[in-house]
Amino acid sequence: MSSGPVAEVPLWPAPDYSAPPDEMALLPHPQSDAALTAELLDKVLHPPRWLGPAILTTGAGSTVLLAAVVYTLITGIGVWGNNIPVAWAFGITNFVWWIGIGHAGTFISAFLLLLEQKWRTSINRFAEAMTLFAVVQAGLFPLLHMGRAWFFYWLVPYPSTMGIWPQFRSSLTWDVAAVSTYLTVSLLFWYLGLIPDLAAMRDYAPERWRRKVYAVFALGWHGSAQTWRRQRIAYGVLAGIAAPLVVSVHSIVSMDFAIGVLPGWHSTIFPPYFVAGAIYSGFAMVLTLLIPARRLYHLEHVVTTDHLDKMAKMLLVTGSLVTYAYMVETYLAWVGGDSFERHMLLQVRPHGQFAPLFWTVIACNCGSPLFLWSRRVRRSALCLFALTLSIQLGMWLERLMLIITSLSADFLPSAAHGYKPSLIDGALLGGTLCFFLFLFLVFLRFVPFIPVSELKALDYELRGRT
Amino acid sequence: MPPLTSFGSRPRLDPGVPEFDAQQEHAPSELSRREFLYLSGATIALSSQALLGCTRAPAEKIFPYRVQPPEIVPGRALHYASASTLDGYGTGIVVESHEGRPTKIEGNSAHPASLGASSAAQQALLLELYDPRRIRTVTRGGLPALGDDLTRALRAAGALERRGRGVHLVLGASSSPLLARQLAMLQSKLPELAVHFHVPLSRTAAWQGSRLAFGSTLEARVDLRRADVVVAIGADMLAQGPEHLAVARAFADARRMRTSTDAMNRLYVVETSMSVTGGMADHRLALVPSQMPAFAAALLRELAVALGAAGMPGDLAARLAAQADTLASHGAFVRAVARDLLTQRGRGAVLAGDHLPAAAHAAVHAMNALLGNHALSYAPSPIIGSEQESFGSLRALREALAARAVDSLIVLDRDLAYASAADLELESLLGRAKESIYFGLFANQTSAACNYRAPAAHVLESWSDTRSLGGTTSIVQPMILPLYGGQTPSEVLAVLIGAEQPSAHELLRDFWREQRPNDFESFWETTLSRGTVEGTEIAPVTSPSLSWGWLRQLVESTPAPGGVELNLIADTRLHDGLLGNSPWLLELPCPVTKQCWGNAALIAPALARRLGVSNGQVLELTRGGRTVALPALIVPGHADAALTLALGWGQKYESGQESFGVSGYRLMASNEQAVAPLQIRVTGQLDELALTQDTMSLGESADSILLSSTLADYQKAPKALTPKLKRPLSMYASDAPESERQWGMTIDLNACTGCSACVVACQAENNIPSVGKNGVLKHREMHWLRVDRYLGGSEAAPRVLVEPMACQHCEKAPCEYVCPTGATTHSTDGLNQMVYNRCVGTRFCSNNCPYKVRRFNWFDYHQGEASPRELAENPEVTVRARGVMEKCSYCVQRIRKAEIAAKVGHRPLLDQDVRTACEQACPTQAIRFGDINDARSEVAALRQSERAFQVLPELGAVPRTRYLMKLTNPNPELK
Repeated sequence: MSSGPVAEVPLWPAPDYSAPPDEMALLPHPQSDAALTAELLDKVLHPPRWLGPAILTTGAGSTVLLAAVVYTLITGIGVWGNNIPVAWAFGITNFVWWIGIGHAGTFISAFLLLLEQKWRTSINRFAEAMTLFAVVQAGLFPLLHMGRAWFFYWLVPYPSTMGIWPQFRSSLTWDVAAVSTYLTVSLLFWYLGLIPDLAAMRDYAPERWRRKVYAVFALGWHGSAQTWRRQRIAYGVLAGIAAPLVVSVHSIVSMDFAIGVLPGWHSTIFPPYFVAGAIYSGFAMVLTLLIPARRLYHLEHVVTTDHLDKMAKMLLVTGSLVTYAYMVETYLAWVGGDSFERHMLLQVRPHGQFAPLFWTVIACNCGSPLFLWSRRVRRSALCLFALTLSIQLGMWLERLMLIITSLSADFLPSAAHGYKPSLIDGALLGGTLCFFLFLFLVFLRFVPFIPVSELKALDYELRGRT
Repeated sequence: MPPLTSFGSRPRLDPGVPEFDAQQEHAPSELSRREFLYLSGATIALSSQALLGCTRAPAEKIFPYRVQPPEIVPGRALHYASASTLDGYGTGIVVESHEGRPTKIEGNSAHPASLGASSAAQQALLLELYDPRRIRTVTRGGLPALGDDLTRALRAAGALERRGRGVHLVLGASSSPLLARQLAMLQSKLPELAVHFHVPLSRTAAWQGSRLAFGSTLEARVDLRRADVVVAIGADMLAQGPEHLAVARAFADARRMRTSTDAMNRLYVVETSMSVTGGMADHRLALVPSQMPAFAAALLRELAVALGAAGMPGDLAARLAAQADTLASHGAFVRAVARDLLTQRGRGAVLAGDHLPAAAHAAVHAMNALLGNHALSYAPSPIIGSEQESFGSLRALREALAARAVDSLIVLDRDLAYASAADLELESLLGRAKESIYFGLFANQTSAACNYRAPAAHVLESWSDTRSLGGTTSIVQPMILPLYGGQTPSEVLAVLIGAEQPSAHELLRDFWREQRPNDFESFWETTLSRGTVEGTEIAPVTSPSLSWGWLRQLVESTPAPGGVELNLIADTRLHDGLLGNSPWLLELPCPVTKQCWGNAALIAPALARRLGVSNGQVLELTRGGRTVALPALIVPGHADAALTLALGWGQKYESGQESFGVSGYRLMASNEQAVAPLQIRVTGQLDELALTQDTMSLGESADSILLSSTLADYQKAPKALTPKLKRPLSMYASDAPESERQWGMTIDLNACTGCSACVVACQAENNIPSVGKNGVLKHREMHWLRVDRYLGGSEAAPRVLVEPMACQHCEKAPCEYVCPTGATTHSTDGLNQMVYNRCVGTRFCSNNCPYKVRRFNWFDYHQGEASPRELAENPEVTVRARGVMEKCSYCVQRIRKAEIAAKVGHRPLLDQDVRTACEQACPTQAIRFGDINDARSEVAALRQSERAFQVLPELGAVPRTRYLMKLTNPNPELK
């Protein structure tokens, strides 16, 4: 491509000198470019002392996951607590929960980018990495929950010599497409944004071997205006592709339930309800990770209280959406005239054997966000941290409750049976949590987790420096 | 086999033992050339013997396949008629055999006690044959022994000069003509030989009752087709008893309701615990066991007053009235039943359960005689020794053992130590016999107490004969050579009599040649191929004369014990516990409680409240100084002041380890009259009950699940009760072109008793694994067909509704569109198919199945099965591996087989050509299968019935299986 006049395509949006004061609060302490770069890259080059042991601990926890996976594959799904009628339980719950968590990352990086929300800059790489690692955990479960996991590729439309294709009316085949697309786009999006910072690492790293490794991943980035221009265009295009995925992926995941005939599953409200829930739990996870990281890496001046406040507001919005969905679902069951659905939503869930589960979900998902109406809570890192944990627990239990209540008491009373998870179920959930944290800590160790270049650009934008 | 004694494993090499020196003499170091040749020759001979021993082809007639025998085509099953025996009564069976390996048992339609149906216990004979736990070798004192030594021990017992003194023979009840002859010969040879019949659940009281009423031992036979009013007093005649398959068929025939104007019988049941028969009752009264004779007395009095009983002593009649007053609270019920019987005079039937006292049986005989009920007939019993008062009593054996007067005890496959009243203490006394020989299928406490333990031949390995209740004789043919060289009872008896090398085949043929000397070979051939011996039915006694001598016994017999009464009953699946503990039976849910892999203390809700216990809380039951602990299970409809315990569980293995459940024999007394009352202690411990159904209430959507009504309402407006079916709209065009044949099923809930024979038949046909108690506790049972049971009405008087539930083969199947790999699809002839090879096991299909009839292979269930269990598998059905779904296939292998046969034979496929395993086993013909497009088919006609309905019609799945509404026929007087 021939080099055109560079000035025609602005590298950054025109500096807005009249940026409102609350935006100014996003970067409260002006620093020189060099200082900012040095500070942020230094956090990667000289990791804090706790990081090594933390990686080792979570790595050890990940071996539990490995052991549980191997045991399940060798022995059979029978080592889980699943039964007939509750043929799905922890496995699918974990899948939906993890994939939901991923959504906040994409939402922050893509949606907010397109909406030109400046506060996303400090946290977007964090959120994107979280998305990626969450989708990795999520992807494990659909594979593992199959009775014959080694034939997973039968769900993929590949030209088989037998001329057999997947059955496209099943939402599980849509799932495969949705999740694999999501993983691919998330990975590309994250990596594309990362390239300039990897190049910075290449330039800053003290040791030769490290510079070499970063050089490989920086793909020959040299920071010319042309390269920047192309990177920004590609980034924008990928954001355009990723943004609809925020809505589509979890809509499709929700159809794993909505296309079923079961009372409590068979509902058209599921796609928006699931998307809201996904973003809800995702923002909670971003905060859960960000609040300690911000503290441990002394990043309060980059990830400010204002950032926390904005994300808390997102929690409040999505939490209210989820609460609204609960109410609509119950109301429609009440007026809908389907006796099975009415029984499920008005009897089995609030009063049945899993009632404690239901009421915990209500308390966590509908109760906790109410605290966020208070500005003081929103701006208190500790309170927020506690609330996000409660919301994550609530969202995980919500999926479990949704799955096992409908399955355990669907139509014929004779087929109704309870459900009890096994030790392996717990090991898999705990194991993915460890593995997720492990991947995240490795990310913190090797990759610039605050987007240096974007932050500098923001600095220019906000202060109008040229 | 001399090498075994000289080189085989020996308990100890004590130099003092003479054999030790003998072995030294033949030490291999001093082998001469001559001896070397001698030994190597023997080795060659032995190894060729061993090679021959690998095959299990029948020994009698063997030809190489060079010229293929016309009847054997590899891959094509052969069917042989035979018979199974329970408590001495024979029932005809047809055994399917693949290349000399029996794989399935069906009923024999030519046999009057089967009529083509089969019971769960009969189906389970197959698994018993291949049970890996069977006794395989002869042992003495736990160490390998020689068959020759065993024979010598038997001969010593049968030595002429001993005249049988001190020789005790224990065998089960039998009706075998051959055995009867042998026993007679034995007793003439050895006059002092003691023969004990061991029958834990004998019909002694019923026989005694007939002796009281008629003066001779007669069996009452009932034809329920000729009865409009049936009164069952403690009788579970639809699920238990020598002819229950035929009785259930007749009962269902009288309730078939092909059109709304048909007549239907009315069933009254008086019982303690809920039974299968009780579930079918139009009116049911729960009474404690001691009130049963009082009920019989009260009903007899009502009838006698109305009909004027000639010959009834006056003073006793007065006392009868006094006793009837003890049931005054149920007076309305008694009067209503009596009036119903009187209005339908001659077209009624009163039946008594086997465990009722003799006088109550006599009272029932008297009632039937007074009413002139045509449904009842009386004939001598086919059981050997049934005329003896002491039949089935082991008291004489106990006394002989206690006095150390037993020199030789020969037990033919009877676990005496387990299945006998605990106060006889046989478990500890059996060891006192000087020489004891146990022939059996399984090692148990009795075999442990005997010196010799030898394998017995299984019924599918034996030549013998047996008779049904009505006398119809069947020849039992072996389907396979004895797997472990087991002996039949006739062979053991023949050795005692003095035969050299008896063969059951020869003994049987010789016996029947004497019976039918003319053209014996053709008689033999036709009999074997048909399964019954013509002209062996026992003629009924025409109008036996009734005496009233027993009436005093009836009015005096019933003491009123306080407290909670113990009601020991036969288990609906394991019967008396001597059926071999087959996993199929252990895992079959009880038709009433839905419990499997164990028994429980069944109590009424009222008693549970009084004791403060809920399901699964362990109760400690003490009676006569013996205590057992087992979980409580609340059964609505149970009599309040009684506790029911099913026998047949808790059998001990040889090691002393108990199998599943708790043995009720521990609380049984040899004299039930003189026993201490039952004491119950609540322990506070919890035991997990393996229940396959937790909820028995239909809930608010009852009308979508199971339709039931009363006869009167139905006849008033036959069409009003079933909802009009609309074909639901669908986004998708029909997937496949429809073929001409469309398979479908109907299940008549008015005929289904819930006996669950179909469940085991399905399991046997379709290679369905058992998952064990832990599997059931985790709700992972694999049954393709289950029998759902719901309760309506009140807690004290529940209305029982049963509904067999298997894959409904929905035309718009919810399972099909959610399968990501297309592993479950629809065939052009209307089958919802499962392609095991394509299944990856996402289980979405099961989640989306509204009927929850799909089953998942959580583990590799078949991998863990010990040899030779795998021989029982049906070669026509895939054995499923781990990780795939499975479900009812409408027995597709049978459909295709019949279709191919019809095509090859250039003939049309007839309605009766295809019968599913469940349909074939069903005693009441409640299940019907066929082509719904064939206007002449039974199933097409039944689908048009006004009673036909779909389960969950509103989902639009259009299930192929249709159900016919359940009707009850209540007495308007008792509303």
